[in-house]
Amino acid sequence: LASDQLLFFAFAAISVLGSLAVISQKNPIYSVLALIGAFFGLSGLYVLLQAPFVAIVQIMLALLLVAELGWALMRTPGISDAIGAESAGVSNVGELGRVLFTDYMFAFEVTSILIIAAMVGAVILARKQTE
Amino acid sequence: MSPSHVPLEYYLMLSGLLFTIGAAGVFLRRNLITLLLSVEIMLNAANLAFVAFGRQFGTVDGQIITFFVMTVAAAEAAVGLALIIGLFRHRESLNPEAFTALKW
Repeated sequence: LASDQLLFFAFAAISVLGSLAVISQKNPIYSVLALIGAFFGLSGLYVLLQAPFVAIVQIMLALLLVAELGWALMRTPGISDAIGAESAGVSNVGELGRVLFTDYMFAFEVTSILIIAAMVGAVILARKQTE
Repeated sequence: MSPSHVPLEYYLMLSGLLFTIGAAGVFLRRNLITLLLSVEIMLNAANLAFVAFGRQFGTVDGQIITFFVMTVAAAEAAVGLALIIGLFRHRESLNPEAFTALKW
């Protein structure tokens, strides 16, 4: 009984302190690192909420953020890969996939168009202007 | 009904707190990259509320909405960062106060 609440407060403290550090750091690089810490706290909370798959995707997002902001390079958002990734499968991942590919099929397909548009937009916006 | 003993209210309060921190970052900071990260914090606060409600009502819909929010957040970060790089090349500054071309 108590251990759940203890874990909740520990993860909540990590995410809140990380978020506070994000907005209080002068150097944006430190802000990015603090945000990654906050993401790990949040993914712990997702595990507590019996959503382990969301927690794994959250950690992947944190690593994506390292790749994206750490080098200040445009990387393709790899979220569709993350959704297809293997997971521990201790809870309702199968149900999650079934609902995602039936009830939310249209939204899922629209998401792929969004990712293509964002990818093309990012590449075009960030390339060097050639006169 | 649910095996976890942390009540929904705790998650909602935490979500509100994180959202407030993110909003404060957007309004207080004068750095485009930090602004983008603050928006990211706000999106994650909303995600937390979605998953907490989904757990409370025993459906996976909250988690699925979270995936869509994460996808949109990744797209937003990619395009936003590209815009920031373009702006930096243009003005050599990350301070939003430096971009006054639409101001008169």
